[in-house]
Amino acid sequence: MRVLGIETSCDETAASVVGPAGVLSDVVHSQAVHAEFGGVVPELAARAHVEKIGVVVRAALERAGGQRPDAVAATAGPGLIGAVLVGFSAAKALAAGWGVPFIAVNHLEGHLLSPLLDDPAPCFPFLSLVVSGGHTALYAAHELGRYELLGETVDDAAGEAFDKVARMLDLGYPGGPLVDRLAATGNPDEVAFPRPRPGRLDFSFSGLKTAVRAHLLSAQPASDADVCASFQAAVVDCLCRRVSEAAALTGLRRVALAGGVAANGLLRQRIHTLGLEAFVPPRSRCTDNGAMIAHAGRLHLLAGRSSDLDCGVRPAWQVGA
Amino acid sequence: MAELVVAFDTCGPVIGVAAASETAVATRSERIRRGAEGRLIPWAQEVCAELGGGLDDVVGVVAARGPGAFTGLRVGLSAAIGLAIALDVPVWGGDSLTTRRSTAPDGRVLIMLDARKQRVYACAFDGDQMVVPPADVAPEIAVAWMKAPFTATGEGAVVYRQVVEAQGGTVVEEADAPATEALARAGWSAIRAGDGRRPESLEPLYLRPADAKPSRRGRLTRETKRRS
Repeated sequence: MRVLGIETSCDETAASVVGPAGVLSDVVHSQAVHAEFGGVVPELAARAHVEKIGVVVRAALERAGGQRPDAVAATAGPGLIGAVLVGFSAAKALAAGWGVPFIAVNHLEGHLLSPLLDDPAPCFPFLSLVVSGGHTALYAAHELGRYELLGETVDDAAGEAFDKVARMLDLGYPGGPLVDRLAATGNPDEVAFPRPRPGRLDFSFSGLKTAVRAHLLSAQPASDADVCASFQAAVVDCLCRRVSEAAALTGLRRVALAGGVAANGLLRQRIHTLGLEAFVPPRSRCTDNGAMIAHAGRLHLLAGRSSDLDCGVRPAWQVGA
Repeated sequence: MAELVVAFDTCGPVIGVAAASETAVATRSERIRRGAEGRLIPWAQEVCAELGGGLDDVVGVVAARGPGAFTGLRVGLSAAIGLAIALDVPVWGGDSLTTRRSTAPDGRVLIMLDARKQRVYACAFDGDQMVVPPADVAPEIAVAWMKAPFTATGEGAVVYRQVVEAQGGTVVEEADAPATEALARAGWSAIRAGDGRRPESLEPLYLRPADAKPSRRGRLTRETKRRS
C-alpha cells in the first residue's frame, strides 16, 4: 500500500510517497521568505505553501514512479492554521479525485512515529522526545495511537529558544543550525546558564533565554561561540535530564528523538550517553517532512482507520486525543 | 455522460461550489465563518451527482483566485489544485470581482467586496467595459470612480450602503449562489475554449500585501540596547 503524505503545518511545503519498502519519494520546499523577519510569519508561510503545493505534490508523485497512491494523508494539526489548511485541502481533493481513502494525521504523531521508518527502528513501547521550534514534549509511546504525555514545555519550545538566541547574536534564521555550528568552537562551561526544572517532567526555556539576554547585556559578555556553546549545553542538559528521569519513572529503556532540534549535534551525541537504547533519525527526517505524515497515515490505514472527507483541521490537536 | 466543470468559490463570507455542464449548473453555498475545508469536497461530489455525473466526469476545475479573505481563498485554490492533479485536468482561475459582472444589472456597475480595515476590494464597469480594474481602496474612493446613477453590488456594497447612496448609487443585494454559478459558467467557457492551465500555475490574487515587518538587525549589546 502506497500513501501520499502532505505536510504544510509551518514553513516547509512537503510531500512524500511511502510504501511497504519505505520512502519512495520525499520532496521538501523550505521557505526562505522568513529569514528577514527572524521567525515564521504565518501569513507569508500560507502564501508560500499555496504557491508550491502543486509543484511539490507533482514532484513527489513523479519521483515515486507516477503511480496513483492507494491513500492520501495530510497534517490536520497542530500548526499554523492558515498553513495547515493548504496541504489539508489539497490532500482531501486528491483523495476524492483518485477515489482513495484520506487520513488526517496529527503532526506531532508524525514526528513521534518517524523513527519507525529507520533501520533499526524502535519497538513499542519507547520514550519519544519531540523537540522542535513549535513543540517540546516527552511521551511514552505504548502502541500506535496510544501515547502518554509525560512532560512538555511550560513556555517556549527549545527550538524557539535557539532561534531567539540566534537573533540576539544576529546569526540569522533558522537559528538552530547556526547556534549548533558556532557552539562547536566554543566552551560550554564558560557561562553558567540556568537549567530550569519546572514540575512533573516539564521543560522551561523562557528563563534560559532571558539569562542569555542578561549575559549579553552584561559588562563583559563572553564570545559568541562561548555563549552558543554554554546555552546549547544548558538546553541539552535539560532535555537529557528529563529523558533519564522519564526512563526511571516508566521503566522504558528505549528512547527516540524527533523534531527539528533532534538535528542538534550535541543532543544527538548526549542521547547515546544515558544508558538507554537510543534511536536518532537522519537529520533530513528531523525537520518537517511529508514522509513522516505518509508513514503515520499508512500505519493508521493498515490499522483500519481513515477520515471522512467532511472533516476539518484541528489546529490545537493533542497527540493521542 | 456529460462533461462537467467544478468551481470553488471561497473568497467571501458565502462560500460555494458549483458544477457546470453545457446546459446546467448545480450549486451548494453557505454563509460560514470557518470550516470551508470540510464542505468543499462533499459538495463537489453532490453537485456533480446532481448533474448526473461524478468527479470522473470532470474535465476542468475552476477557482476564484481572489481578492477576498486570504485564508478562505487559499482553501478553494488548494482544493482546486489537488482535484485537478488527481483527475489530470486543467484549471482556470477567475477573480471574485469581475466574475460578478455577469450577475449585475446593465449600465454602470461598481462591484465591492468587504476587505475589512474600512476598505473594499472593488472594480468598476460601464456596460461590459471594465473602466477601473480590481483594487484595494477605501469605499469613498471606489464610489468616487462612478458617475450617478450607478449600481453597486457585492458584500462591500451592503456594508457601505450609505457611502454608495451618498454618491447617487443604488445597492443591489446579490443572492448567495449566483456568484459561484457565474464563476462555474465562466470557467466552463474558458476550459472549453482551451484556456485551462496546469494546476501548479493557479495563483491567488491578493491585492494586499501580508502584514509583516522585517525584524531589527544587529547583535544585542549594551550599546545597541541603549540605542533601541
